[in-house]
Amino acid sequence: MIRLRDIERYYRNGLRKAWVLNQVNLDIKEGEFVTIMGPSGAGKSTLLNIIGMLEEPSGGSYYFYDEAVHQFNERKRSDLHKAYMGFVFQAYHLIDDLTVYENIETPLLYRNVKGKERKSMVAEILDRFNIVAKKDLFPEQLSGGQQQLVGVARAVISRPRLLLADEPTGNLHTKQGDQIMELFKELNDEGVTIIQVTHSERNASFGTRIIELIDGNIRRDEQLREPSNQADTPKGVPNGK
Amino acid sequence: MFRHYLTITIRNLRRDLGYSLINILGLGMGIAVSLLLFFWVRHELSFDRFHTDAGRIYQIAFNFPADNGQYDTWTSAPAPFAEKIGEEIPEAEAALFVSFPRQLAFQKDQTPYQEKGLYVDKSFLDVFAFPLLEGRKEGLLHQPGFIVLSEKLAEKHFGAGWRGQAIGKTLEAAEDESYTVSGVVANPPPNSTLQFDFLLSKEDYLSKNPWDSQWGNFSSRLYLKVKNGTDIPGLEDKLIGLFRKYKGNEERATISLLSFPGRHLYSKLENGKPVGGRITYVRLFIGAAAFLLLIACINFMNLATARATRRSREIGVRKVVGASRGQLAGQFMSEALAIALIATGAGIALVELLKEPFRQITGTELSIHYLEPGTLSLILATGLVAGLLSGSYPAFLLSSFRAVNIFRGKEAGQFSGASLRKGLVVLQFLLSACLIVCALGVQRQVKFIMNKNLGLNRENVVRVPMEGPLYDKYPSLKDEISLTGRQAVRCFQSNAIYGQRRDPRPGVGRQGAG
Repeated sequence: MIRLRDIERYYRNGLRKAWVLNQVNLDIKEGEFVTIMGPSGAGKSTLLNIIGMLEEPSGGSYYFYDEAVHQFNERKRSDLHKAYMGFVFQAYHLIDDLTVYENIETPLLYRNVKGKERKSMVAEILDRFNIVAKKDLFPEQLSGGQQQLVGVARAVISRPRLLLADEPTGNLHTKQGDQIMELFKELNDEGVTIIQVTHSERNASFGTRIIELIDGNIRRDEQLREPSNQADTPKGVPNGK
Repeated sequence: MFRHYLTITIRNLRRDLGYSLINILGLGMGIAVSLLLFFWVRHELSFDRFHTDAGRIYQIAFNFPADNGQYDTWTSAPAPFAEKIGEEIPEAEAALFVSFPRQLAFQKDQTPYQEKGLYVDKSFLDVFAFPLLEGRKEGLLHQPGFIVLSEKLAEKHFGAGWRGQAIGKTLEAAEDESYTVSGVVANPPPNSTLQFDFLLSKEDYLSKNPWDSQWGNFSSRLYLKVKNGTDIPGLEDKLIGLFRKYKGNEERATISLLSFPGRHLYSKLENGKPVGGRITYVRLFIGAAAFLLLIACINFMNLATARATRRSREIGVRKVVGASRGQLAGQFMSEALAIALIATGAGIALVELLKEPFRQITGTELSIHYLEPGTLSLILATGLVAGLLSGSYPAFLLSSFRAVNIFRGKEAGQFSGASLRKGLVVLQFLLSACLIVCALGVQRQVKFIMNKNLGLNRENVVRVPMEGPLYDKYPSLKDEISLTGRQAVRCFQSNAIYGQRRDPRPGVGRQGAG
């Protein structure tokens, strides 16, 4: 699904370059649940953003489903991002002025899903995440764990093939964090590829593979177990455009 | 999607009520003032355009050589010319004698009152489209002694139930004259150059002022309605030929045909050619209205972009969940348009509030009918321009934010458009300063006119026009006033201030000393 070759990311600081990522080579197959770990400043979030096409690498090649993303323009990249990816943030990043329902609905609006279908999709996910009763509340009326549940619901409503999560449990206490992780595992079992950034060994244990970044380099790449149902996952373009 | 935009717009407005009010009122004031000016401009441009085939109506002007090699242009003509044109010039569909406005005193129940009206040719209402409310169009002014009233005068004299009552009745005028009402026309609209409360026949005029039947007296106005496709310069030559035939010895005089609806805006003439006039103010006001609208829009842009800091996270989130740049721009654009719509509403309310003071300042009665297509489209166009103009920059700028930078807190404070925004602020202040300087200048001019010592004492000086029975009773009036201890009473044959004869019956006036 993902093939990174010699990915670099640096910032120019006068004449010197400050390296964030240096010569990163990484392959991720469909159905994996990858955890990126490492100390602060190791480039974890940058790597995640590059994979999520929110940020461009300074050099190297990035193939997504064998398409050369590094040669795409912004528009094509954002189309790919829209078609295949969901994003979960540490700070939830819900839109304050929208209710739970409307927050979850938003990605569908940008994908031109028709009203009736939209309604049933949102209803289904509210039901599944057990937040039907909260649907008319605004984010500030929810606890952190509930907000993150909404965040995840919003990320997966468009049925992405790839879920990217930047410290999704960083602001939550253990019990809420576990709940999110259980949810991730469930999604992964259904075939969604997940890449998460975390500091927590506990969270990493939910995944199938751990990658450790230190100073912009991959130091460790450890397979915890086989991805559960990789075989069931259809290849190609599952979500349609 | 549209509902989604609307929801977020309304919630945003509600959340920052103070900010929203400032923004909407700011834009609303700009829109209101621009609208007032546009309405005024439209009023000016509409002058005399309501007549059928207004473009074929011309006023005859004479150009006489002056000492400085230029020509003096007179917009008056000798009375008999109209008739001769009608007889001998086939290109003229109609040639009309129209007097300058004249005052006449009427009486109702022994109480005299003054009205202004015109002495006109009988075909007056065929050329000028003042709707006839009562009376038969044929024979309205075909005889001396017939009078056509405006609706206003009919109501004044015969009461609210004048309909069916006025026609055929007699109107007593001063000096034992009386006129028979032959018709009632609608009041001339405010955008008509020809204003009158009554119309009397040309024959009445000439019998009172027999000297004006001479070719040497340029005492009245002369209007022509020409046939379609008439060659105007050719007609001008033909007319001066005709004039010379009857008047003789005017070898160097020429005639100009001035477009009647154009006269209002282009009243300044040089050598018989219109060179300007009120059109200057019309252009000036269009410019002022555009500038004011621009200032209001820039103000809106600045407030909207400055607040974008608060919205930036929303922008980032939307980008991440799949919004394209165009969709985000569309969102901010539709927000601006929605706010502009509200501001337009506020603007209309302000226009209603400002209408009366505006009328007092400019003396122009703006008749604003909001549902009339012209007015409606003018308002909508103003609102739309304001919305597009004020929404374009925020939409363009905010949609260009990069999600990653927003989440890292980079673009929140120091986004890329800051220098443009500073430029806009400078422009806004510059334009405002210009307008303030202009306003101060005008104010000092007005103050100068009001307070300049002209070397005479204007306090306690009263001018009483001598009309109606006042003529005959002048000596007793003078005595009465002297008895009250007033200092001086003078009588002038002509108006002492304008130095021009205003009286409809010259020759009767007398010199008085007090």
